[in-house]
Amino acid sequence: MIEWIAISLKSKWRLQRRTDCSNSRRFVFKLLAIISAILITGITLWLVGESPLDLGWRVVKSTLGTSFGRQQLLLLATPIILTGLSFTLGGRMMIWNMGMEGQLYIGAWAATGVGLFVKGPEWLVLLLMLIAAAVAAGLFALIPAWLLLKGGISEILSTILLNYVAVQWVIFFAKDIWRDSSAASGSAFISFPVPYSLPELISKVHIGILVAVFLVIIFSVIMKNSIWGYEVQSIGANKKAARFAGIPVKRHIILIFILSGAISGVAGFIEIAGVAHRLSASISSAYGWDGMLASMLAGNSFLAIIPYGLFLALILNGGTVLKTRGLSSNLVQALIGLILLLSCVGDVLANYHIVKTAPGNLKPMTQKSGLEEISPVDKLASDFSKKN
Amino acid sequence: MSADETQHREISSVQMRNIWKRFPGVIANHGINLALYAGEVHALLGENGAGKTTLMNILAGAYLPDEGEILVDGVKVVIRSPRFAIDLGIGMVHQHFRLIDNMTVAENVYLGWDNAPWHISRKDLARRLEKYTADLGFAVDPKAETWQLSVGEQQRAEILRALVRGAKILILDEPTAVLTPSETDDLFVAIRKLKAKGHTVIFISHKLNEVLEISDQVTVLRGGENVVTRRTAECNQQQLAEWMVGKQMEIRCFAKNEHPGPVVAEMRQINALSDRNLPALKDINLAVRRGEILGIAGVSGNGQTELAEVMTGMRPLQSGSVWIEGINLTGRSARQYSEVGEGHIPEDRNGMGLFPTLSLTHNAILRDYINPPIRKGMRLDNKSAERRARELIQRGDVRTPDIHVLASSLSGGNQQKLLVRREIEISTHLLVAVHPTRGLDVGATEDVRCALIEHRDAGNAVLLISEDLDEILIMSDRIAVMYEGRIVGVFSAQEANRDEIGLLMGGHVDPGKNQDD
Repeated sequence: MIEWIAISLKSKWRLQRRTDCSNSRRFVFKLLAIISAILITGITLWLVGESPLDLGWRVVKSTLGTSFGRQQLLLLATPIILTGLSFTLGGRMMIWNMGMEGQLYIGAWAATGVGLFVKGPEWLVLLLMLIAAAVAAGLFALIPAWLLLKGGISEILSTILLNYVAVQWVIFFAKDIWRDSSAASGSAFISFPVPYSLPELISKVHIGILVAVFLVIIFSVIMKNSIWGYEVQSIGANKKAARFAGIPVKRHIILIFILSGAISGVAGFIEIAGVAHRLSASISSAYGWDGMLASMLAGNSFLAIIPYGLFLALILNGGTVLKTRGLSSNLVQALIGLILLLSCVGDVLANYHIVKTAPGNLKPMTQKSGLEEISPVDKLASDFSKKN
Repeated sequence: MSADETQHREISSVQMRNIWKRFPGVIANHGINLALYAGEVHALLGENGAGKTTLMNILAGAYLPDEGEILVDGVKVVIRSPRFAIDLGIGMVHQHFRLIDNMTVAENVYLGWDNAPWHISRKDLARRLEKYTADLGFAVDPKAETWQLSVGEQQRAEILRALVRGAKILILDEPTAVLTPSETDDLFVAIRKLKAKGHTVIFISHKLNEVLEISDQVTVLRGGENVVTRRTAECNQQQLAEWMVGKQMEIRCFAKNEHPGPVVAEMRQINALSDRNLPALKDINLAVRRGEILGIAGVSGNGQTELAEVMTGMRPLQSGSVWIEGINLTGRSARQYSEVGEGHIPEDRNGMGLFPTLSLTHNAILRDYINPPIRKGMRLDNKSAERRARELIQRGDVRTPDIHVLASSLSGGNQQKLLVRREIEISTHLLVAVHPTRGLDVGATEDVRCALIEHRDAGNAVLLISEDLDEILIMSDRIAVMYEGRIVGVFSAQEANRDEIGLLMGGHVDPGKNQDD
């Protein structure tokens, strides 16, 4: 038996984690992944009898080549960037807020409420709408915070479930209390229109995108340069050590929930005051989830949410273009999923290289001045060995 | 094959040749050679961090070596998994037991039994184990549940698990570290029986007398290198110690301070519960004086962890009070303890003392980011923070290319040096150091110990908690022994007697010695 095993283990290729991964390498990998996803998409389109080059050209032309396309890109990127910021903010403290969608709806609801019933100069009412949206969504996010701290209920579960509550709450107002029965909108129920809108930046593009970019930059700066940011990162990295140093962990958790919720609430306000103007169940087309994706693609970085938000918006708009060209929306969804999946894979693969190994004869690790970035598994292994 | 009944193929020899194993920042094994033969007890002697456990983890299939080969009866094998190691007849009993608490001994032993029948009752399982243990002369109640067992019995259950699965080569990783002297004697009886039955036992230890008593062969490892392999009969304690520690690295005897200053910290009538809500500290009265190191000796799990937590505001008291410099700090938060000038080197360096995934700067300022100059209102001054980090790294002699690397990229010794320095800097009265040198190599151990002694000589008090009795004896000016949550004896450095302390640690309460202070 021993002989058999000795023979059966021949040398083979295996992935080994790189200890040095530069940003340019990471970028190249992401680019390669996106290109290969686009290639697969093209082949698929060709197989279903479309002409991929022609379609591709149309997608590029109508998303980036026309002013309408560019407007749509910025409008779509705004809520994605904001909800992405929401998620990253929680993620810095290992708080997984999956309720951006619901918080966005609550923000939209509160903004609509103020917009419908408060009369005054436009700038003042808009400001009040913004504050109402942020406060309402922030308070809404306190529910999962309370459940987590009091009952130890996972915020992942509670925030996902509260999304449904928020949507039903909005539907209740849109089809009952604030229903505009004169609006001829088929089966969709919508509220009365809000008579205030965000000022335009350039034609059709409101200042929402500026708000989003501004908030991302602000949080990025605060996180690096403030006592609060230091404490938040400490809690995220090691709760026990933060407690050891006397950082009030609970207070920070509550505040992070409120801020994370409030930012998504602002996204809801922007959708109402900038785009939809009426409350309905369809103000968000899964922006919360797209935002989460943007945040995850951006990794731990705040600033990277902006390009990834734009990238996602581009892909989604490209999908819409394909749909209008008569492609089945199922196929379009699958292709969007493929592109996103591969760009995630590329991100991870950048950390590895392929080595040839003989069994039991792994290549020695590269030593970089005796120090290296270590994967958690390696870390455990070395701790274990040091304990001896 | 049914694991417990068939006689496994006998192994007459195992050879490990030129074994290398590297971990980030350390080389755990530098080309080690080891030869094992049937029917012998082979001791692996070495300090913490010498590479003993790594080498055995390689043999037991937990790690693959980076280089080198293993031959079983002259055939080259690649031990890719613990499972395969067991198939080969190699079983390991780890230092930290891997038993399931609410299962019986028999269930634990037969966990992972290859040819288990579809259904077997607890009773049958127990009977089966009884039959097996009877001719081994190994007394463990097969129907007892794990949590009811003493440490020694748990260890026996672990050994049985390896034997039942056909282990011919039994690796015992520091088996006596957790045992009382009488349990150790029982273990030695069992080892001799196994040897007589033709088993090979690998006995990992850093205790010279035990190695001399039980082993036939001894291999000494130091800093991951093979120093020597000899027949035990040809060795003496002096020689083994020299091989183990290395001549140039002789453990220094620190000067004792016989004239400590006034009392800095005091614990009065302290009672506290453990995490499992069992009484962990019982009527503790202790005082630490300026310019003294008070060592707390004891087998781990006798309340030392809880004592350290109580002294640093991390565990609530049931009754009693903690005073530092005349201030009653009972019920205060950890931050308030540090604000009055108390440092804390926690037991679990990576779990509590550091942020492994953040930069050295982030780690270095944990204690003083809240004060100027690092704090400027709401702002964190990154320049001052970096200056502070550089200071700590320089004073603590932390080896690192720069301050932006992650803490996890430092070796354990350098991590601990950073942590120790950070805590020393804030401690103006008392420093609580828990296992400050655990898992460190000889050089880093020396550095940390010197830093603590210097801190004492500067007129501060140090409360040193360690499982390593030698460390306590070397460092302390006064020694208190803990057993089951009580202080069972206090000695000055002069009257400290290794044997007496050892007995007290094992629970032999001497009525003549009562609590003092």
